[in-house]
Amino acid sequence: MLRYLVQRVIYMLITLFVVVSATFFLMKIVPGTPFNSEKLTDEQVEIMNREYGLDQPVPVQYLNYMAKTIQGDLGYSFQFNNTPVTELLSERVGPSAFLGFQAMLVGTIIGIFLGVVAALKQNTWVDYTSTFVAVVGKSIPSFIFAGLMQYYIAVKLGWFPVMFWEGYEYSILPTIALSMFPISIAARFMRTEMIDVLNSDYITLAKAKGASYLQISVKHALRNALIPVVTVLGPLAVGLMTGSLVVEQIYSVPGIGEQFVSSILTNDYPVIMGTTILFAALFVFVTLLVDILYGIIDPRIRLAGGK
Amino acid sequence: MKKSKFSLLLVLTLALSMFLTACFGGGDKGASGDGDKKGGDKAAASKELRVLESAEVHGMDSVMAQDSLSFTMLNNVNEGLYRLNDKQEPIPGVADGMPTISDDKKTYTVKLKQDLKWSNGDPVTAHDFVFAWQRALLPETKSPYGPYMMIGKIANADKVYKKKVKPEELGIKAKDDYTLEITLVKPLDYFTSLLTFQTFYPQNKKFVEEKGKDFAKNSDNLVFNGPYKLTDWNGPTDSEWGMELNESYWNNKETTIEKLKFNVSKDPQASANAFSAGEADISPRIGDSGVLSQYEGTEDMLSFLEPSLWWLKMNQKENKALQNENIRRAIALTVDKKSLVDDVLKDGSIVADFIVPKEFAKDENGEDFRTDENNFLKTNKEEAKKLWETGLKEVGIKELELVMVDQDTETAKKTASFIKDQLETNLSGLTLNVQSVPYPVRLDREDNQDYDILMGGWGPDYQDPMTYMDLWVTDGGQNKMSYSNPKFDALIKKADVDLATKPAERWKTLQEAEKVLLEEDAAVAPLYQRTANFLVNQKIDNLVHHDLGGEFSYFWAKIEE
Repeated sequence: MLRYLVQRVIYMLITLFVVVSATFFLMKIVPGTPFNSEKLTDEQVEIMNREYGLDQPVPVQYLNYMAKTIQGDLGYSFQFNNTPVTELLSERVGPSAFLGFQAMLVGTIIGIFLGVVAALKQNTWVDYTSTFVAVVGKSIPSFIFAGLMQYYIAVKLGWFPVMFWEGYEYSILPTIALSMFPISIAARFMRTEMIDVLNSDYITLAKAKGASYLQISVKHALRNALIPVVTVLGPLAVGLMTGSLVVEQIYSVPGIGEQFVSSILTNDYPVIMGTTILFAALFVFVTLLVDILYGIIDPRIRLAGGK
Repeated sequence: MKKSKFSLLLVLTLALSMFLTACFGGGDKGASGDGDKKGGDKAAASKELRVLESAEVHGMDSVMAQDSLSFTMLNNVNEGLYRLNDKQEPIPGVADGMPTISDDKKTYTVKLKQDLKWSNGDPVTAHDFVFAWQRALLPETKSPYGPYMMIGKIANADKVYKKKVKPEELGIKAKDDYTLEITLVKPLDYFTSLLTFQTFYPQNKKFVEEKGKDFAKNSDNLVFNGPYKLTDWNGPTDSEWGMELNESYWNNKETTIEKLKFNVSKDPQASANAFSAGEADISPRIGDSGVLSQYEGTEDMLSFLEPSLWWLKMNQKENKALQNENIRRAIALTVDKKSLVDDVLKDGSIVADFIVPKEFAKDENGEDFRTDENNFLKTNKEEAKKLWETGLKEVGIKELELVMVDQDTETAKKTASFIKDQLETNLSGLTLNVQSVPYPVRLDREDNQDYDILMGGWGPDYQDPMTYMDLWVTDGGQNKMSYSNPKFDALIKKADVDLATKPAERWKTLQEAEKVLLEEDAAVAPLYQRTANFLVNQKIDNLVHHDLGGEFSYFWAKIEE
């Protein structure tokens, strides 16, 4: 297990290195400079380029950046008057991660429940309802839900705040909007897998042995059906936790999703890089977590290649 | 065994969720903590306004500020020698009365009010202005506006900037603690109004130097000399901040709004929803015609014509066709501007047959620079067709393909597709390739003149037609389309230098120059002058808006009971 973990961590670092390097060079190809003011004089732009090392050849800039990054220095944001990138990220990542995590939790629980119920009551109205919810959730983008809920539930009914980020009740509508997608994904996968598993030989054997309905569905079928679902949900969780541009804008959540997009649009190099590193690290970490989860769900999967 | 694995997972999940709950950074500084859902009504009663902004405050260092929101905040928490009133005229702020101007109109002597205090108790003196101005100009400060606003206006600014003379040589001197003497390069009629601009605000030298790098980092590292103090601002990335009365401000007896709360809301429909639900008293500027149509004709809308002009620049650098005057004129005359403002923009903007906006620059008698007679390049599709055919023949081509660069905002994209349709339908043989790009890319392509037609605009930096007219001189910093006409250059120079002390003749000359630019040369195709729209709680009266620098003055607003 330990050997496996060490090996995985090394792979993770290599992945990160590749992602960061690729992003760095891609970013430099994008036209324009970070100093987006018509009023700046040529002398000032020159001074700034010198100060931020942007006058050097790109490979040199790359080496400098990597050296600083390894020391934990992510530099300063151009668009936000020299705010340190680490400070910016730590401020912004919290709300996005919270919303994403909560939406994932709600989405997975409801989605798995819907999928299981649909599989157990195959081809009844329960199944059709669950499928309908899944299709709606998957085909309508989250920002449509966000906009509709904001207008009808917050403005018209006044049950929840319209926007802002000032307490727990402010997170409920964005969470529901964000959870629609994981609900539908989890429900669809769960239903298919459950039906598959329920038709397999060992379930027939369990039935023949006289195991109860509940025991069969929960202990035998559910666990085996979970594996593919976990595979899909891992990356989805990362996607949600790294913030949604539109949902965050609609509910005025001070998250990272909107920040990342605006940093790209303004050529804010240090912020683009910092956010990329954060997202990539989160992604490889969750991938590892998912692999470990496999072992917990299915004892047949041995992480270190058996023995 | 298995059970323990699951409980471990459960514990981890709980721990993570507890950690994440700590993420409500904004929670503790809440909405004045009363949890009242009807924020707007409640706010109005308690003399507090809730304001939505579509961006973060990028910086509160008055010398470094460059975005309109920062200017608006500075206008409310700090004060320069003068500030603009509701008629866009300068009135004394820190200055004690209007300046004494020398006979050659190049020296301004300004007396300061005595016993004015910064919010930390330090006196506001003439030295604070000298310090701030020098700081703004020096290249290592990297102020976007300092050199831009001073060079060519304030005496020795160019030499100080090039480090040829000491900063003390700059044309602003403290004669004593409460007297400033400002020397100009040439007479500038609009100079008093220029002094209202945030770049010219004073800075508390002792405080700025003491704080060093931390200065203006957040509201704790700022001092104020204006009507309000900034509160709970954690820095440029903060999405929520406030203002409260500055007790040490000299003129707050009449101020009724005691507190303001600001939140960032970037989605126009969501902002309108928050406004409708009573959670906000003032919305951000709304340009989305879909959202505006919901409020059209209601008392909630506050609209005003801005001095912000939008146009098509035609690049004459290499393109033979665009070097042809008939072709340029054909393009300018083809776009149906009336339909553009009425059917596409639908935000109250008006047709522009000019370069210097309406209701912007007024002479001593209050007459607008923009008279009804001097309109140029009015839409005329038939005429355009004829000119187009002539032009193509002159250049010796039958077909023409042009690249039009515009920004990737919704409004710009809508406008661009309208223009493409208009031009391609009316001018046979023309193909217009529209490229919608982000702002930095647009600037880059404009700088490198990597475009045929560019959709752009300009807002004023000072209250004088010149802020629009000197853009087009040969090799001017903002020309960037290789337009050059010695006659135009001569007129601008004449207005700038020879006629500096003769306002009436100067204006005539500038009007003549505008005619050369548009009527004679069809160098640029003006499209529209923009209208700004806001949603404002009907109970708020006298919300004063400005054309230059900061957008609003909140302290003059009143709440009707």
